[in-house]
Amino acid sequence: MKLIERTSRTYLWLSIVIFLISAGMLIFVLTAVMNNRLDEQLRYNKEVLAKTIKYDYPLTIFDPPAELNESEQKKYPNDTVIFKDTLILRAIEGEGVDEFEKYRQLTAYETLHDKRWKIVVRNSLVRNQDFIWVIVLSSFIIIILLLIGLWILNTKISKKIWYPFYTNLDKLKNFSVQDKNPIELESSNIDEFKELNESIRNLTQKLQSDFSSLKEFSENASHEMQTPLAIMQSKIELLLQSNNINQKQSHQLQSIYQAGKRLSKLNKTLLLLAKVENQQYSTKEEVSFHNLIEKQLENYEDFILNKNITVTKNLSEHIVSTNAILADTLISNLISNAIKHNVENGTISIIYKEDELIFSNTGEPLIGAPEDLFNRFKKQSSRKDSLGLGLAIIKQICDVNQWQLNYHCIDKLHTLSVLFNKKQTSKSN
Amino acid sequence: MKILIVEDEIELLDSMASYLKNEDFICEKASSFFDAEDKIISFKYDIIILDITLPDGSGIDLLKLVKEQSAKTGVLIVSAKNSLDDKLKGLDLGADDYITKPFHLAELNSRINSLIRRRNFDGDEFIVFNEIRVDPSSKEVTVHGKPIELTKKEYNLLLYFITNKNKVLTKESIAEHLWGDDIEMADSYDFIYTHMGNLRKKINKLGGNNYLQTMYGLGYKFTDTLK
Repeated sequence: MKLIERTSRTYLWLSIVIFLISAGMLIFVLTAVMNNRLDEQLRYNKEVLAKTIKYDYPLTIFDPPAELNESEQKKYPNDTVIFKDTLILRAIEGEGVDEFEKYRQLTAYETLHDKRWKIVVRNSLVRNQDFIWVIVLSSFIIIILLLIGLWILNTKISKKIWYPFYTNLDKLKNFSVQDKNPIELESSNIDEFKELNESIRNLTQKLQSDFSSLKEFSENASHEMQTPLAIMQSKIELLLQSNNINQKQSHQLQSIYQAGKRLSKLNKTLLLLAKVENQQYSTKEEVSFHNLIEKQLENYEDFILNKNITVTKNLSEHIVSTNAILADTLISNLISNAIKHNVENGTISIIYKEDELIFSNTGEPLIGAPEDLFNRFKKQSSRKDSLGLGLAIIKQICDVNQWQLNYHCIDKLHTLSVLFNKKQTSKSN
Repeated sequence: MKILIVEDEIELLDSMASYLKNEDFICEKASSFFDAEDKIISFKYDIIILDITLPDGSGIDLLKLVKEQSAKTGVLIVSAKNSLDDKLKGLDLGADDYITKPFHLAELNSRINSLIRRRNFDGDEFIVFNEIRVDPSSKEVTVHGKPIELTKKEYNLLLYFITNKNKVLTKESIAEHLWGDDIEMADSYDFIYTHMGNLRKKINKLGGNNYLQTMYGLGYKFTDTLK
């Protein structure tokens, strides 16, 4: 629910409640006042009637004054005046329909010419009731008018006042920590929004600087590690050349050497990832995936033959504009991945079309969740020589090129597909 | 063959120098920009191994200087930064090859030898090891004058071994040489074994000796001296 909708709704309920209360109060007060006035009128009429009787003028607009019988004389002492509402059946002229009408009625007991009289005068309340209906109706119309007014006002306000808010919200949605430029926010003269903008600006700047220093750190750390690793490796290699090492020492040396190799491989891979992330491979050229795939397949020939894997290819000659080193790394990783996770006598199918590159390979089902597949150090296999970074590299290369990488697995056939035209496909989705 | 090694890490500099000295290269060492500049101006080198990042200057500037002094000098750039910019810049400015730290000393030696062959310094076209003769330009190998048919991997393997003869070559270094350093598969060691077996058989068939020695599972050595 949008904020404006929420406040509008509150306004609406409040208005309805207030109007109902005020309409009720209006009806109550007005009725009381009117009744009061009517009662005065009735009193006056009664006087007229009494005088008529006193001076013997016959009048027909009121009930004929009646003499009180014994019991009534006892019940009602002199000068008793009773006001009450009453319903009287009245025939509507010309329609022949009987209808009850509401009347206000005054009953007075008076002694006139030494006789006790009951005087009854009435006034129709119909006009009063009409009045009440008019009040209700007009209240209702006012409520509606008010609501429409509020709605229009709110929409206008929302468009104008909330405009910077929604624009900034969109900008935040599209914000990426990898952006080098600070986020540019729509300014507003409303204090809350100003504060919000200020906070967002600080927060995003902090995020960006933290992110870039983290990237720098990992890149620098990797760089700095290269030299000591190189020294280690070269010293062991020199040591290996000496003729007087025995088998035991040789095994220990081998362990150190292999651990060093592993470390340096890990370091190299992390460095590559950091560099891809830092957009250091931005020079683009025309790359033929067809040639790259053929070249890498040749390089991996031994591995393919060893597992007796059947490779089927359907490669088009399309040219993609991208970084050559990244393209090479991508293909090498895709092929090595397809071989590494393959089974004996398995298959690899490579399809390269204008807008898509699809690698399918047979293999054991995934152990973990497919969502974790592209995460760093998430190993799907228990192989010792696997760093668990191959797919992370593939993903990273696709990300910087704005290609879409998809994975799915049907019946032990794992498929990785790279969509080159990410923007178009996401539009059609 | 005179080589100048420019590297600010003394330990690494010493390792490189001692490995290459064994290969009958005359090695000189420079551990700073200043030192290197001095040596480049004063002497003539066939090969310069150049570290790009020096504390008192950039190797790129030294490269320019080298090319001004003697265009014939072969330059092999060594860098901890596997950055494309350095590589392209270096190769643009006339560097012949590029190697990233950490590297195998055998690989460094192999690169230097291939650089020497490409530049054809001594006019010696063939690489000869006793009865085995390799012609790098046509990639033909003969044993006792009789040609043998080698696969690309076998040829590369043989060349790597002969270039680094009498040295223990680790399986890792061989795997990287054959498949590139992206390789991440344990299987590759088995393949080395297979390729070596085939290579040995092919050489033996033509009456060649078995020069390959296994070093406790560590690696292999191509040598004509007995253990």
